[in-house]
Amino acid sequence: MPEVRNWQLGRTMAYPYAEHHPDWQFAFVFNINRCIACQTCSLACKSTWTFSKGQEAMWWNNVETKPYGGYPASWDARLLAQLDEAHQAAGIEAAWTSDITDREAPYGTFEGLTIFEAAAREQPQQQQALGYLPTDEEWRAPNIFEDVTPEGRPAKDSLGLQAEGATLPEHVAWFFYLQRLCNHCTYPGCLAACPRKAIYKRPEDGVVLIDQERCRGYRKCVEACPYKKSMYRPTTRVSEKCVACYPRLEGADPASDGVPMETRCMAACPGRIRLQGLVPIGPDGSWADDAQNPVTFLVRDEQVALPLYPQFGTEPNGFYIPPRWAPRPYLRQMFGPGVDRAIERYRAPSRELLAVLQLFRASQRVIFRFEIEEGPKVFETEIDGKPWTMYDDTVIGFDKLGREVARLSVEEPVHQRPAPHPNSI
Amino acid sequence: MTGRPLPLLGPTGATRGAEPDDPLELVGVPVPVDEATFDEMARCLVEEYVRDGWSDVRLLALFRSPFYAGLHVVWRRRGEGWVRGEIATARERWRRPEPARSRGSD
Repeated sequence: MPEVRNWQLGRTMAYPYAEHHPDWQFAFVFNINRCIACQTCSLACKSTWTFSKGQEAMWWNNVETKPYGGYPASWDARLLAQLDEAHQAAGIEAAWTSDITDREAPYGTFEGLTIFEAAAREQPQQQQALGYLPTDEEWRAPNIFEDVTPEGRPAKDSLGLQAEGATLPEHVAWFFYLQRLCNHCTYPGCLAACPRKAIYKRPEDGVVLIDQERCRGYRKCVEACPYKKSMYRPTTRVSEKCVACYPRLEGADPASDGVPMETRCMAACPGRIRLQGLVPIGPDGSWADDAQNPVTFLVRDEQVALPLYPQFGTEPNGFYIPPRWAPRPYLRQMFGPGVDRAIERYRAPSRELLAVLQLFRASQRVIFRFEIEEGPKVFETEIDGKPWTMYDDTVIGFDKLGREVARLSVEEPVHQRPAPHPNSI
Repeated sequence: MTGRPLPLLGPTGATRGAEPDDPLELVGVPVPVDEATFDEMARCLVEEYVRDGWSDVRLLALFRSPFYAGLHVVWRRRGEGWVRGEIATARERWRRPEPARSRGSD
């Protein structure tokens, strides 16, 4: 197998195909600290792409309650267990080196086995990537183990519409909500596994698509995707997956004015937890040094946003600002060794970071570049025993053509849309 | 339609014990749990929305609603007074006064 460079692992790794990189990469940052699981993103996606017959249990975007829920059920626990077994059989520890100072290896070096390397050790080799095919039962109940409405009437002045709720378990300990969609990986497991070569990565934006004409529904992609974001549709007998709302990304949507526009799930988020971008990629696959691109800034410069299960080895392009409160060992398993640094920097954000966080949901157009205008000092305080100063700076976002599409201050006032159409877009 | 009488189905499934091979069986994941983590979670969510400029009325409505189960469980376990206290603390800490009050009207 060819060796490819995976910056998230800090090393090269075996992958069935040689390196070819897009000019731009679809990528996104989700701030878990703000998510209240309203599921607006899930419904925005569902009502756009998966509302037809045969797609009933298909949620390209879902939000699950960690550490309890998952869609399909136990998807990550099952693959982690498989990888554990592979490591034990090989006598290898799934460890990271502790050096996290190299910009091109920001999480250190992963010394364990990826899903591709674990599969290659099987004799005879059965799979291109270690994985499993979820059962129908595991797909069928996306809400199982999730937070559910408790019994009782909503309190006065609450937003609840129904007096009666179901009596089901609820989580009385810590939890956080994990927002998930296809990561449009640099080294996709689905693409590696497809025996028909029906899956491809677009050179213009790195979006991973399934050619519906070539696909014959073998479901190898469903088996190999570690995030279980490739799904089989029984009515058409082919597999489907998130398409990154490519008409919007291409600027073909009437509202886009011809420039890339964020996906439906991103644009619908009322909690302002989502920011989508296109990051410039160098010929060698590295992220171009572009600290004025908001996603590059958050992932590579501030390093507050981390990939989901980087140890799987697919180099996912979805990144998460980890929740401040969850136990660190759990978070390190999920987001890698960059967790402590990310939370430390998010708890006491730099002046620039505080301004860039305002760009989340500031515009439907993809922001390619930002600038910050310095504002007055607001106050001084201490965070974690260290002095910290807040400034009311202004952040300005620009679209692909360099036109201003967003301008917000750190202390931006809230403008509440008046009734009677609070839900209108 | 059949004229044959059909047996009534009772809720037998719910009374059966756990079966490990049932894919929908609740899976136990041991995780460390303490009350301080629960409070830190609530505090973080309050702080995020206070910094975002939300009013007390809007924020409390989220906590009161059973349809935002994560926030609601905090409201029920700790009580509205505790939530109001956390909102007030976050406003003081981040110098983000209640928007209605800072505008001089409700």
